Amino acid sequence: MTTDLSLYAGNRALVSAGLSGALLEGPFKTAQRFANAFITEKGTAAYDTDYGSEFMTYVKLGLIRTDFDVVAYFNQTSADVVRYIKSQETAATPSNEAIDKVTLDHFELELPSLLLYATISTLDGTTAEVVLPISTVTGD
Amino acid sequence: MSTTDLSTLDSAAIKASATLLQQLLSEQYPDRDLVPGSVLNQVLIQPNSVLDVMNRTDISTLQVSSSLQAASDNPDIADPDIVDALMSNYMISRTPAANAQGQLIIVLSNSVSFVLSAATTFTANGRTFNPTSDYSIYTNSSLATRTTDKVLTLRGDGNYWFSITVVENVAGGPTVSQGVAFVALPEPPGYVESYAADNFQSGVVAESNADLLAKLDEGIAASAMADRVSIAALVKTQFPSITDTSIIGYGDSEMTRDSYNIFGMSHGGKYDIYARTAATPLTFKYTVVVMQQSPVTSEFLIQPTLLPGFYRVQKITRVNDNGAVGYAYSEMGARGVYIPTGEATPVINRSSEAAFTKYQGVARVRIDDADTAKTWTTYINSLSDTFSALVYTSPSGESEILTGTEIKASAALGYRFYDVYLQYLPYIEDVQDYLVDRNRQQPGADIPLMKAPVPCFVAVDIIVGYSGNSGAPDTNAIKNAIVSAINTLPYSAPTLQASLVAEAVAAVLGTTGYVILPLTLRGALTLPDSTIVMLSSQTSLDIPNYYDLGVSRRTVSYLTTADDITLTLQAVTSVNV
Repeated sequence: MTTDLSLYAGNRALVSAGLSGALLEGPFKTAQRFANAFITEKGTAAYDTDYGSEFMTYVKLGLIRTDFDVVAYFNQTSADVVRYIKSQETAATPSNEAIDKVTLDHFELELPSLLLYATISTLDGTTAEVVLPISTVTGD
Repeated sequence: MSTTDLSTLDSAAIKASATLLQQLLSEQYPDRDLVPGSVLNQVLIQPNSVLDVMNRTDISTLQVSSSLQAASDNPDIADPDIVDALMSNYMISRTPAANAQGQLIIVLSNSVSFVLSAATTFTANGRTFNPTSDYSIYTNSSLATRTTDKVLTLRGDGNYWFSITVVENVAGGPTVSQGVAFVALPEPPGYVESYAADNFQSGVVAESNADLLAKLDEGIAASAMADRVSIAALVKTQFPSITDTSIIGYGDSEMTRDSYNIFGMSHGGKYDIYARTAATPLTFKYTVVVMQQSPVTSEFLIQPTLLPGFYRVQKITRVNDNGAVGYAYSEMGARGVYIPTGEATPVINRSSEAAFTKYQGVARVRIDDADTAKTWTTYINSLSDTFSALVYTSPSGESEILTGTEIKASAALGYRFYDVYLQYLPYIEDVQDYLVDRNRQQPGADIPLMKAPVPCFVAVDIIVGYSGNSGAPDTNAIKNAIVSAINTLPYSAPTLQASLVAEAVAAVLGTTGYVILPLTLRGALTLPDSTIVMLSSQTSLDIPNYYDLGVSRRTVSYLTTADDITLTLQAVTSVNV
């Protein structure tokens, strides 16, 4: 099993300077990988235009207006992210890190953010939950 | 030389580098998650792969630039600074860009002091020149203390004149011939006219890597009168304006000077150097004074030392009549041979061998002036008493020096004053004198004979179509492109193709127009015995061989000027789609 650095402090915020250093493994690492990719607008990563999701693009375009839109676009774009993560996995990837599916549990509008509560499931059935804060303010 | 913009790096190469780094580090650190998407991948692998590709790119550029073979194969990719350093090992340096510049005469009707700003533009044939600095113009010479101070001088026609140095606003432009008129903007107070006082120094286009590498053969050659490459290297180093050379020697059909023996066979030991000493032929203007020798004709001589090796009389006008069409004239007989005394000279057996060399003899020119409507009285009366000129007094070339006083006193003899324009290539005498140096000569051979190329003066008739929506194209830019294409054609090019002209024009027009074929090339091949062979073609101008006169493609250069280009613009109605 391999470890990765933790970017989050557990309260939907990035770790602060001086308080970082935690490691992640297993489904929590997979959940972090999914979260990072999902909230990165596809095409903005230098030298890897496949990385990211189009959910943020749809938000900026104003296409997400109703509850139905949230569910529909989440399902569509999260599947794309899952495909990307799966393409990076190898035969050596442990079953508790290999991504299986992502489920949108529920979402809340906590202005100025749309909070998406999702469960990431791995191949061996273990899960990890993430909260994806989507900013609804398209500004500077 | 190093990469300064990461966005120019190859994305595929960065991905491949990231994959390699991931694989290598995973083997070294098996407990680290370095897969794309992981934090460690994003903060370690990705930046390192970018730097890795950047370094590889710089190394590749260095490798391409630091090898002669690699630089020659990829001159556009090779780094210029590295190529410069590489070529310096062979004492070859890149010719920097230079702007055409020269002396401009400005004529005013008023005598008033003013400042001529460096922002003033002087344009001619679509080219723009500016003064090299602000100039202070004074009416009183005691006030002129700096090199940028000029004093107005009174002319015989009542106007005033001064001269300044102007430089073109872009590099690489050709020369401007003496007498070419300029348009000033804004006009100085009392402005009458401005024109080139003398032939301008031509500009130089900065050499590309390909141009620099092409000089390698000459750079590594010994600068000695040894073989053709070495001789070319020697004269080009000493006279950088030489654009091309062709050396005729033993065994060449064009060599005539080495067969004057009882057997009529070539015995070697002599060689001729045909050097194109300037891309564009120059014009030299000077004033000739003749005494009326018949009701309509006058004759004068052009001495060999006036302009050694000149090609032809281009125009003869009434004195100070810039822009005039000119009088009819003709050259009487061959020019002969001129052998200066007191210096070593190459063996020259007949006038055709001396043509277009320092040893070209006297030219006798007849002017047909039936312009009885104009009189010379006013001009003669305007001469100062101290005026002095050589006056040709008879068809046989007799002459005497007369002063203004003497001319005015004997004005009834009918003195006439003409401006004669001669077309030539420069440095013919200078190169010959350089080659005559005993220390430079080949001990086993005669002194080489320096010759200007046998001229084929080219005129072009061309029609350019353009869409009425895009506006008429720049005719001066088109003409300059044609002139450049023809004048830079080397001896090694077998012929002057019409396609060369069409391509030069197409490069200027882009998508705004096109050449309407056919175009016509007309050539006046001037043989060394003064015979003119007229050539005309819509496909190519081929040089016929006259070996007994030393004429072949190896000794002939095509020459043209913007005045020889007849350009017709034709608007074409666009098609509505």
